[in-house]
Amino acid sequence: MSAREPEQVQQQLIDYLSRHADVREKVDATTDLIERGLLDSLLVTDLVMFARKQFGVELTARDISPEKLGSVQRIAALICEKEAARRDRAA
Amino acid sequence: MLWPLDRKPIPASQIPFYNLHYLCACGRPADPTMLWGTDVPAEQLTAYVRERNRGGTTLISVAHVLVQAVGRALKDHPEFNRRIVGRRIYAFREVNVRMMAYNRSDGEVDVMLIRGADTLSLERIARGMWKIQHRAAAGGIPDQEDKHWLRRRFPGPLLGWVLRAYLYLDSRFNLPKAGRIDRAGCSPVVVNYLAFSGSPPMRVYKPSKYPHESTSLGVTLGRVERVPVVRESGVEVGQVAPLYVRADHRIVSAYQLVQFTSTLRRFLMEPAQMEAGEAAATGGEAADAA
Repeated sequence: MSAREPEQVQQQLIDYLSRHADVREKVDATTDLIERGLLDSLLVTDLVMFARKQFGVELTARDISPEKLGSVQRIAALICEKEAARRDRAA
Repeated sequence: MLWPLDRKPIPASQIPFYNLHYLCACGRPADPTMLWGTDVPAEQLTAYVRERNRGGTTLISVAHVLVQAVGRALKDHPEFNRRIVGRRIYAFREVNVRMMAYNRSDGEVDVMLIRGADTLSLERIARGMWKIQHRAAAGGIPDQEDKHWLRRRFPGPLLGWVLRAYLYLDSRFNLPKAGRIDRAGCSPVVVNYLAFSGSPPMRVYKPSKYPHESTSLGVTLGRVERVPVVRESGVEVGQVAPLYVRADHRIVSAYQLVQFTSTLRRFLMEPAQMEAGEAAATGGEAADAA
């Protein structure tokens, strides 16, 4: 399977957040999700399940940090990184 | 003649476990519930959460501050850290807080028991709760395993009878909480943070009385909203969150309820002072799924 582009993952995450989060203003890849107060506990758990279902990637409890989930860009980078690690293991 | 209902009831196997609890509880001849609703000015609360998340290693949310505030308010008002057994009142040995979390993956409400919540740092509460919620999303916390075990062990209507028998005994005898049986009963309080995405502004909320006698106290915080507030300089846009505290008149008075609610409100208004004013974390796990 070919590697997913970070931009592609970002777009899927933006679409997901637009549908499920309490978004009043537009969210882009660099929007500070913490500053905007978008990351409630239910949404974080949903994001974990979304990453598992959509990308086959397991976000661990340690990944639930402001540094890793602070923006769509960072979440996408985390997902791509984990996807790459999984491919390396499988190779 | 009309028969508006189906001939057969919905089988117990199709009813979420949490609803079964209510369904199987006995009716009460009187309602000893008192409810106090208030607003919490939330500017400092949201600023504090934002500040803690800058450079922190664990994502902190208002829900975590709420758990800490309830734990510390219980410590300051030990008369609330009690439960009814029969017609007697017993004190809990430690300050534990029970937090509810809706689990979209299986449609159940998961119960998180945060032990020693009066002594834990915010970071430890957050880490423990995320750990449980993360495991819950994969269906692997003891609470979920216990529900599955009970459904397997007592199939069909038997489960309803077993729950009924257990609630009857637990409401009359001082039973130990061990193994798969009722670990959540180690706390006097149920905490709800009802501020998930898409929730409408909360104007009135009536927290239900959990059928379990161990839960004499209910604390519910709604979403932080921007509202007009009157200050010395005039009317300004401020942030407030609705807070509801339910207590049992068999354990405390309305005066004590006011004192407890005031303490809790102050902790939520000034979370930095609350965190600074108490001892650091103790050993052991921060939270345990009940």
